[in-house]
Amino acid sequence: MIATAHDIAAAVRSRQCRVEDIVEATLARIAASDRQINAFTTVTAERARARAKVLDDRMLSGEDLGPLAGVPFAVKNLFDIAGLPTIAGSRISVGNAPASADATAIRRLEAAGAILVGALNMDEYASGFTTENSHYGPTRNPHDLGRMSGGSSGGAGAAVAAGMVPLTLGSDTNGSIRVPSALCGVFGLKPTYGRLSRAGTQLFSESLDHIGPLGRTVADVALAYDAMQGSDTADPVLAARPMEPALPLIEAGIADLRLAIGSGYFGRRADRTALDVATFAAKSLNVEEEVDLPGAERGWAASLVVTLIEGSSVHLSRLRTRPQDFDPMTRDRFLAGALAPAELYLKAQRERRNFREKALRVFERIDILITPAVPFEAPPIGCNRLEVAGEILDPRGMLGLFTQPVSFIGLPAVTVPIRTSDVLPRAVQLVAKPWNEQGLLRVARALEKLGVAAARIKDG
Amino acid sequence: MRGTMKQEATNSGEGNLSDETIDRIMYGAAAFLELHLPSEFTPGIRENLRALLRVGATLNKAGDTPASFVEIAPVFRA
Repeated sequence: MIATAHDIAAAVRSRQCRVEDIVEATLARIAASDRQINAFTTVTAERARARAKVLDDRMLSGEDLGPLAGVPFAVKNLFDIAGLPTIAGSRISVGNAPASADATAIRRLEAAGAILVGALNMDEYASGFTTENSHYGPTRNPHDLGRMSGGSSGGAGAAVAAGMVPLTLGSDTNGSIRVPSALCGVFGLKPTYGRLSRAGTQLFSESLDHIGPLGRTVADVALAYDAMQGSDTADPVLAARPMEPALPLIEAGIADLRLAIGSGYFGRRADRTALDVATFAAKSLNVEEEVDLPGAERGWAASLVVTLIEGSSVHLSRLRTRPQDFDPMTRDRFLAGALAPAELYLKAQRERRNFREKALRVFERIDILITPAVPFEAPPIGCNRLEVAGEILDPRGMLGLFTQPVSFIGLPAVTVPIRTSDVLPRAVQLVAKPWNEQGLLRVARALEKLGVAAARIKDG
Repeated sequence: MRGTMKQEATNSGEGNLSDETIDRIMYGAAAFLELHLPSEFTPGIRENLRALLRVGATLNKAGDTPASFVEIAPVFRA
């Protein structure tokens, strides 16, 4: 199996291998690995084989298939796949009519030559950080099958980390790309709010939802990110931005970027290793300045309020008609959100605005902030009590401690897995001002080139 | 009853509402939204609602400038 999306595309475009062979190898790998991991809820084998044949024929006729030629990918099962119901990790939505078209993101990756091979497990309606899905079972961490994969895009993180596919798509409301990327040891990009079209995805929280890629390398994530950019009238919050490709810039170095390591909010309530890994990454880039984001703690609290109230609104009709078919924990959270006073939502939105203004002032002085991605390593499946830095915490909520304030104010961020001697992966989060995904990926690539960062793939 | 209301008003600033008050909020809003709340759901909902209200009580302490509704509209652009 060829390792990266970049390598696969290069091999296909230079006619070193056929797309049909890549697809068969991928399907075999999924069949062999997923019995243990439980990352996939659907494998679209027939569709993938049919498309592989078409791509091979086009290749033979001399056509350039694009930058993702022949690259297999899979998507969190909240992305619409034509002909299938979009289940979003739920039992309720299994009865939905099949999607009439693919989500915009899928169409754009396929237009760049990629091949969809399946849909991936997630927390029900994206509400969670663990992918301990009560309907479809937990997605297991490839590096320790007794541990969580993270969530809510747990299938997306685990499928890459288990070597089943080189590339996946997830969504991120409060950390749902970055948390599983960190726990599974892969790269995961959450772009700026409004950068990539969410059209054709099941929304969780309208003002917080993002989509983005997870992959083995910075170049792979950049390839997918670049392929998904562009206008789309079907997503009303998509910003009118020019295409800003990141891949051509990732080797540009970081000499002109001002970096800092997170302190204050980002320097406590985490285990020693999480903090040490962030310090190690910063030192490897000669970063000494420490910076906090003032208001992050209140932003974290307020993000929870906005998430639950907006989430409850999305699911109100289901809460009326089929409350018993939700996972009980999801149902109780959404119902509480539906019943909360409006003033609570307004207070949280005011807090959001205040926090954002303060954070943007910080990003006038720096370009990239380095923080731990999550406060601790992947907890055991079923764990609801963990001692961290002298505190007893519920890991199911605390996994989003460092990611949640960042997405609350729409900042772009990337999870970068850091090499350690530990069995379980560790990672840092890089955060930038809005629209500076290029800067994020340049720093991620610098860490990768230094050998400090690398995805942890469970091959064989 | 008057005493109870006074106590609740004091406590509400800290988000420490009694079960009775939480239930009044819960069932009042549920009736308006046409949500049926079976009794087996209520402990979990009550716990989550209480948590939300406690969080709310910590937000926007004195000194913050309230924003207008347009500025805090749900469709948020970064």
